[in-house]
Amino acid sequence: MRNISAKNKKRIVAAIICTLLLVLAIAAAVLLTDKGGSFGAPTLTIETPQKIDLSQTEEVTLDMNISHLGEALYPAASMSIRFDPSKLEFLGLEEGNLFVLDQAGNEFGRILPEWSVNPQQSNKNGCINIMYLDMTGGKHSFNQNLLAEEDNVVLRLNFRLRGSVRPGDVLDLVLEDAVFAASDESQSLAMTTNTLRAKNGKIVVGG
Amino acid sequence: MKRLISLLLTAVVLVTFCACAGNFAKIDLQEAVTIPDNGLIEKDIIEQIKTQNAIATFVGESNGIPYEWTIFGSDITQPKDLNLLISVEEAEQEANITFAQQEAFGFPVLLSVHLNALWDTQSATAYLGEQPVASVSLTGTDATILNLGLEETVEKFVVRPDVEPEKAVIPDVTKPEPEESSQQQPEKQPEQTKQQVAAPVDDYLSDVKESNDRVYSDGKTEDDRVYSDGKDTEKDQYLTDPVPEGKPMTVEPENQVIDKRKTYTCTFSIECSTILNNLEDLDPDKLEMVPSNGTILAKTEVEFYEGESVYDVLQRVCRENSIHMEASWTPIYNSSYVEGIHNLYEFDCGSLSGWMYRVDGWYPNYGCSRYQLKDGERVEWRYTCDLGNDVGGRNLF
Repeated sequence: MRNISAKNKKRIVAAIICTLLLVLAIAAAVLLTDKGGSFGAPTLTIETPQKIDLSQTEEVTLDMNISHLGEALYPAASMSIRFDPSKLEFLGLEEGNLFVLDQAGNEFGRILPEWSVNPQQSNKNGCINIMYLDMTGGKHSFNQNLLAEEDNVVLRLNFRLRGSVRPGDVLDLVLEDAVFAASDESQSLAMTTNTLRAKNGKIVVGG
Repeated sequence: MKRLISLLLTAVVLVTFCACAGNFAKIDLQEAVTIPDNGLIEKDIIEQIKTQNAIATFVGESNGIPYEWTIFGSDITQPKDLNLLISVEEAEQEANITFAQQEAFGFPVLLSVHLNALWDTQSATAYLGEQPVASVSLTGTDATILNLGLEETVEKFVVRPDVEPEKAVIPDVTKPEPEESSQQQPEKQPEQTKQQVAAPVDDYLSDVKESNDRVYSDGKTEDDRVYSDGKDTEKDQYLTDPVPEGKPMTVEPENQVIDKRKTYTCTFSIECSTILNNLEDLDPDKLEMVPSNGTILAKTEVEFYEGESVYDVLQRVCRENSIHMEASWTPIYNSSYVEGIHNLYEFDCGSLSGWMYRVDGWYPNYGCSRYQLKDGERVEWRYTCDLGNDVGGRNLF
């Protein structure tokens, strides 16, 4: 009887150790395969496109991605992007794939947000000011649940290369300011408060 | 039972180790990767960038100066270990960059160095000693960012802003000087003129001077031009092929002496009629810039001072006739490079298009800042859509 109970104890200890190791292994695998998405701060990125060949390309489109959002509803967003207007002509925006809520009655759908931008003014002062404002009191807000698993393109920036661009040129696109404003201000994401990180992009012209 | 448990434990440890090792070897290429202390980026990671056709960014800092490397997966030919560590020392209007990587990268990489100061220039050049080796693209609004496209690497580069060398100018003393300057240094003027006259003689001319074939401008003796004897077989230090026999040799801008006491005339014209035959290749936005007959400036007689280059006169002609012109100083060729005239730029009419100049029917094989004009010459600026073949020039690009 004594022997049996000692055996049982050993078995139980072994089982616990195995279970612990398994849990550790699974946790490690999950942590390491995660692309940092859900553990880092929200990051707004201007994606650097592939190198431009001047003889082939005149227009360039750059994706603006966001890694993830917080838990809140974000009914407004804005961003300012500086560029060199002597080398690039800003043509306008193209739709991304980041939706906002479409709350009609009790139904929840999703629609693409309508961003406001003035290309003419942007080309004058070399700064693209983009804004989204939900005028319905929060029915059309950005929300974490509407993010895709990867490739969350907020919007796309469309440029034409000016004649002054030469092979070997590098054209920076710098996020000067960006905000995702939440209904509860304390949950807003902003570059100025370091709650929103920014990663700038560049257009590299092949030499 | 004990065996079973130990087998299970071993299996679990192995699986965990493999999972970890597999994931550590791979990096998230969407995030900027911090360069490790030893600077080494292993071959596996370069292979990953290539396989994923990714655009990877590696960031580091040296003496408080941040820098980043951008590597395009499409550029990688042969993955290899790279050392991306650099040391940056910023001085006034100069940056010294020392590389840890000793051998060639083997494929193009882009290095961006975020300086603290803002350089008041549009372009810069990397020098190895005093020899220009690469053009540097400058960006940044508050502080300058140096962008160097590299494939080969050397131990140390010095990057300096591109500034056109100042030319010695002999003023025309028969014309009244502005009151302020004459009041400030009235007695120094003769001495100053003397110093300017004794400007350095260019390397190419000094040999000739010894053989009395050439007397350089000192305002007292007759100036004569040096022509090529066609015996040179190698490129000069500014990557210029030997000048054909009988054609004028280059005069380096830093050695030019402009004598404002002597004026001459030449004829100047600017035209882009080749575009009319290649309208299908023209950037549609540029159509309105093309005159119906292709003539931007009809043949015009213009005055110039002794010692001025084709570029000097082009600048003045465009300014006086309100014609847009954009050029950039290119140290590697020791000349200004004319990018656009009348808002028509290189590549606006196909990948082989751009501006060329011809003097008395010859397309010089060197930059327009190095061609010193002589009395009565005929200068034509012509737009080519086919590397010069459509305007009677050889492939000079």
